[in-house]
Amino acid sequence: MQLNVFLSWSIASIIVMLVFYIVYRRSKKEPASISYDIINNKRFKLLYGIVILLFIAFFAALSYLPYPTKEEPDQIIGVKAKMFLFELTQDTLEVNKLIEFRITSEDVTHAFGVYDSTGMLLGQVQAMPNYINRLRMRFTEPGNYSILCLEYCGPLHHQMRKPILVR
Amino acid sequence: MTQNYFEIQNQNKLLRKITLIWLALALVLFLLPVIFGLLMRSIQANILPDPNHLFYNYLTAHGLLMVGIWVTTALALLSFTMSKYVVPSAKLIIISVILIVVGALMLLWAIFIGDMAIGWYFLYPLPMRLGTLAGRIVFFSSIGVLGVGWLLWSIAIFLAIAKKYTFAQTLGWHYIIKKEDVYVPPMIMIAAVSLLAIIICLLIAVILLLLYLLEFLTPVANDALLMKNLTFVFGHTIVNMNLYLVIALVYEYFPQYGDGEFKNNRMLALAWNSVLLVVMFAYFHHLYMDFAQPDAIQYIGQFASYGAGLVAAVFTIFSVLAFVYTHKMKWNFSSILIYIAVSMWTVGGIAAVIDATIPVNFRMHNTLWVPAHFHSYYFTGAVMMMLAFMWAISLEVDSAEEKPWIKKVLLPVMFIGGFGVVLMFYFGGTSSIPRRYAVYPPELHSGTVYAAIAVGFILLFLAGYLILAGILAKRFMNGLRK
Ligand code: HEM
Ligand SMILES: [Cu+2]
Ligand SMILES: [Cu+2]
Repeated sequence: MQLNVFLSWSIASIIVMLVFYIVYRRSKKEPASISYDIINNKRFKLLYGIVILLFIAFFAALSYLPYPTKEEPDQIIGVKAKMFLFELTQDTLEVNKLIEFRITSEDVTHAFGVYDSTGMLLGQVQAMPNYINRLRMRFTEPGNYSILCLEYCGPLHHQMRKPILVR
Repeated sequence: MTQNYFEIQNQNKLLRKITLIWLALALVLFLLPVIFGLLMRSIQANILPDPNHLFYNYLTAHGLLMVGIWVTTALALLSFTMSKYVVPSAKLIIISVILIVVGALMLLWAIFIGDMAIGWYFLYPLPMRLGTLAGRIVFFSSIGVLGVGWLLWSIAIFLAIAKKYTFAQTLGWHYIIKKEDVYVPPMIMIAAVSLLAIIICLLIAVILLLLYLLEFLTPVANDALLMKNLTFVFGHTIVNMNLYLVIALVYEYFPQYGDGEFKNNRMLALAWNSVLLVVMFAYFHHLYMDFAQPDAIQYIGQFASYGAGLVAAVFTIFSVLAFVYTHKMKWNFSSILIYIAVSMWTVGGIAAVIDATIPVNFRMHNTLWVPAHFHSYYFTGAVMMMLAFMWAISLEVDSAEEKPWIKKVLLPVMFIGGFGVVLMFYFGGTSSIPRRYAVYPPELHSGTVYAAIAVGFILLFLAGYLILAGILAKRFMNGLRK
């Protein structure tokens, strides 16, 4: 996912920069005499183009939401975050099962970030005092994973972590 | 250039003085958070030890000083530039500048002496847990003092506008109902929209500060989710409005380099009024990862974030491109820098819209992707634009000519430096490197490498910036003496 995000952003950005460059080059010649109406016509084409693109993205996004659904989880893990550690009711998880983490915090806001063994972020949720956030995940590969704190929570924020095992 | 700001300003000596003093001061002050940025990247790269554990103090000071300096500079540039239509009260502005400087000094005291290393958006309840008691008191007082400073300044600008236009005209409502009797320059309309949002933000900040005060004085604890919502309406919106204030100035300055004008009309008025509506709801994208927030609000957040991006692309960015396409441009340091900065604003905007998509945010939130996109449109966007306006003003006030090496050498050096800084954040975000980590864990070693490369780019930027700031400051001083 991260790589795809980066690639989409790079391609879009390179196109933007090319357009800016081409227009810049054009400005060095005699200015184009285009009427205001034609420009506006183009503006509306751009408007509709982007609107359609955003609409597709909007509804595509809604079908990949990370929020909990009605489906029953197979395993429920309680998580308590506090400066600067995570306490899990269980740190061995089952592969291919729908796991629900119920996460809260005892002091400040932390965040529960799940990293795989190669250091890729698989997903996250905030850990807030007096709230329980339910994060659903299904691990398809057994192995060593890590929980890293992803919300700045004080001087040892970057050391707040917990290994978990999926098997 | 069609206008001569120097002559206009001759009639308002006091306003010119206070503007030039602030601009010179901002150029120097800016070095401080840049150096904090350099220190942070060096610590993350393991180039520099951090024996006193000051990384998070640098982080907090960097973020807040940057926002403080550039919000103020945008206000200064705006009140100076708009004075060719309506003149804001220099006296009110002087009081604001004094408050802002005092506020900034208090802030630095709270962060470094009071040890309030709480991040630029001081997420509740962090400020109740970190730092000394004196630090907390001074920190919140400094936010109050800064807020009053900005509020006064915004009021000064609104009072000036009110001398010539009604409230409805200022927001372009007469264009919307097709009653085009009074011409309102786009700069005035866009600035008014932004300032209105800033005033709303500041009022929300008052509520936030009162809730903190309540918790200081009584045993009641606040609700963390509510506090987070309040923090981000305030924080997110004020930063965005800083960008829009700068865009307002682009509408005024940029077309002068093609001997033309960005005209106000019904479409533009509609666009900016919808921005005002939409932008207050875009901040919800900061809370996607708070699963306790109702889902409907998350969708509104995604919708509003997309909307803000759409309006920016179709109106401002398209207009800049169409203008350049149809005009013979005079390309100097200012116009090139504005143009490039608009492209960086676009690039950052694309990254922002991608990250405002909930499933993407699930994996990119609080990684370096976040500083990547906002440094794109804040640092290589808005700040570069403000430096470009300063350059234009400096040429006027010192009756100076631009030497060719300025745009041929200085501009690329500064810009490539800045772009490299931003690009390393993007690489970090793509590699899942968390933001706000003083030290990267061994499995995220690539973060260390990107930080080291960033250090090189920061030095490149600094080299260019120091020369530019030297020239600018000297011209502003000359301008003051005239
Ligand atoms: C040479 C220029 C700059 C450098 C080297 C720089 C560097 C940095 C670094 C290293 C961070 C921390 C990233 C992390 O989370 O690990 C950061 C955060 C930040 N920067 Fe910059 N920056 C620069 C310019 C700017 C500008 C111009 C602005 C705004 C106008 C800005 C606003 C911020 C803010 C708001 C944060 C977030 C602070 C926080 O997380 O509490 N920066 N910057
Ligand atoms: Cu934590
Ligand atoms: Cu943390």
